[in-house]
Amino acid sequence: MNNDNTSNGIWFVLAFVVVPVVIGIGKFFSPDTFTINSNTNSPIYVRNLSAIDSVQKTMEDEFSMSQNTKAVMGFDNGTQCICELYTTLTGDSGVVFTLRSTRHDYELNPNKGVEFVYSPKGTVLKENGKVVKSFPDITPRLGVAERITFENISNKVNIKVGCTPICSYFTQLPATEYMVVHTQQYTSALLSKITSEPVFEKPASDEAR
Amino acid sequence: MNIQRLVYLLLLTIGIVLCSCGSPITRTETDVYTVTKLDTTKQTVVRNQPGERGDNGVIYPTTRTVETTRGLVQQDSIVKREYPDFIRLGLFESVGTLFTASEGNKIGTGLFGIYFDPIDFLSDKIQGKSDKVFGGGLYRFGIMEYRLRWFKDAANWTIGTHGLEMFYPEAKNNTTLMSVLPLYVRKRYYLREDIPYISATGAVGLGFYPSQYIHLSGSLDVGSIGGLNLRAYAGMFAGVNASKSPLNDSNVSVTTISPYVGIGVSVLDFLNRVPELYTEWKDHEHSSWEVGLLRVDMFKSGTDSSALGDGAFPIQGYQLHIAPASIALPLPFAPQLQNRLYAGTSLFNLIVAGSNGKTILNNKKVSMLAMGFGVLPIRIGYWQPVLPDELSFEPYIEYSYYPSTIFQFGARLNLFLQQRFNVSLHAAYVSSGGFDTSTGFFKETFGQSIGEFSTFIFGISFGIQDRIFAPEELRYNRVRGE
Repeated sequence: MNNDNTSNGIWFVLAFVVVPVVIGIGKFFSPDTFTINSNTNSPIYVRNLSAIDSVQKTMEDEFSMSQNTKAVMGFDNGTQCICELYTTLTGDSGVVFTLRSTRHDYELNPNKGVEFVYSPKGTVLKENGKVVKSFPDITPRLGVAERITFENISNKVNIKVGCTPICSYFTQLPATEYMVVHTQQYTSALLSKITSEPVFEKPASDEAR
Repeated sequence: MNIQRLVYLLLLTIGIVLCSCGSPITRTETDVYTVTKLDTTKQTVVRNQPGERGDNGVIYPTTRTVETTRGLVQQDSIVKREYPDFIRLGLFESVGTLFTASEGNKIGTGLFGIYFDPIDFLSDKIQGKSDKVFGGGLYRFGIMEYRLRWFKDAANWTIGTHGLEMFYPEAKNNTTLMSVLPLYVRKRYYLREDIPYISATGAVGLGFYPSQYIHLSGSLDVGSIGGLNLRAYAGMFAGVNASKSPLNDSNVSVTTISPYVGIGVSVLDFLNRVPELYTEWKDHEHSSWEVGLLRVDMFKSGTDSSALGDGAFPIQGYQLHIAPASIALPLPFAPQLQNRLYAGTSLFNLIVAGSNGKTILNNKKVSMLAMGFGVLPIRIGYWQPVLPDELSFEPYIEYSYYPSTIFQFGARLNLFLQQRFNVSLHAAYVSSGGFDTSTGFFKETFGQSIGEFSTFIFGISFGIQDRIFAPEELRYNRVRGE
């Protein structure tokens, strides 16, 4: 082999610059993660569990999801919170919000947790895949932003659609810091004006003060 | 580019990749579960007032008092889980290629690209030959592949790179294509989804420096099991060495277009299917008793003098097994063996037992190095756990057949220290036929002639990045559904 004139320096640069960059390729092409409401006291990180760019942050408190896409919202402030968001759907299949699950549990068993199926075909509440309550009259209008409020406090899940409290459900499932959102086939969703408010339980003695 | 610089670059790249392995190979999930317990206690007390209460029509207030205490207990349980975060992670892959070299310019890389003639292959001046079958070779160091979720999450796409990729179509520098960290996109079609996997793989790769090339290939892959893989390749390299490329010793750029077919092997090369990315590390299936990066033996042997020079007593020689693997053999007709019989190999086996004096013509005595070098030696052994998770006894027979013949039988007592490091006591009998190294890499490196030898060795060995598995970790010993 020939004697090259390239100095050792260039090999150092290649090894120390190019290697770390390319190692990062794996991370670059792994599912997207971003944070919404990052300038508030209650930031929410969103992780795409599906194809590249199928979940995209569109504003500071808003993100969009393509059809048949899964994303997980993680609440930094813990497992107890009140989350309000506006959902705009484009298809008939609807969207499923799953509380009291984790990313790991959801990907292995999507039916685990408290599922709120919000669909133009009818809204259903399920626990571990079994229908607990159904609300045939509560249906989203396509293309219209509909407000949903989830109150995930202790062993109780309260859900409001618009201004109407539609259920107050007690569950024995442990609360988690995640809410998984799964758009169904042929339905994309825009989740906007997302806010989350942590709920801290205080001892009774603190309340008395 | 000279061999020293190449080795230097390799070590540097592998070192950096290994040092960075913490993040790219493991995904950690931390989940918080809050368990809420609501408890209401009611205490009822009836204190009857003293005195008489007759039935005189006066209604008295009840003396029953009820005290209700409501309690809320919330417990956070934090779960940390670790998963593999890669589809493929490998140390070394080599492919012996056919139809790439013109007559008289064949390198002779041998089957899998590693049964080469060590006399000149590891030297700076590779001589072209015409009587070889495998004219060229493809070598990769530090292989990484990650899941690529594009085309609506289409299955089994990956993106990745290699620390260094070298394609030698023939014994000419100018036509050699080489790149640090080329970019590869692959798609696998699994024909068998149980270990060892069988898949057909299509790949497109781009090399950037020092050569610029595109590589299209299709391969039939078998593996991994114990980090070992076999691959049959067909593909084409098309690229250029620019005039200032360190590979190019002419003043004009040199274009290489080289279709090839080849057969390859890779070691310490682990493949995960997507479902395995959702299986925690602790639950992963293993097929081997031992898989490692390096096993170093230092021993006392019966040779005339130490290979390390005077004063090195009691260490008289050393042995290196690069990428050793001991794969359990589940024999359905002999369940009483409990999968303890294993077949093993390593990428290379180098033993330097010391030096022996040899009398040649004119009663002149010369020192001959007692050395053997083997490629993919065959090892058969029996793995007997002595203390669970800690101590194991391993009698074995090992035979190296190329380029030198080494026969070795002995036993090890392995002490598991931690997941990536262990220590063994090693006793064996070694017999080597020696081989001719009048010129080339070995002559330049060791400075002595190499002769045959037979000796007992006794010493200590260290497994570096070497993992010993407990019986219950073998997939054959797991209860289905566990």
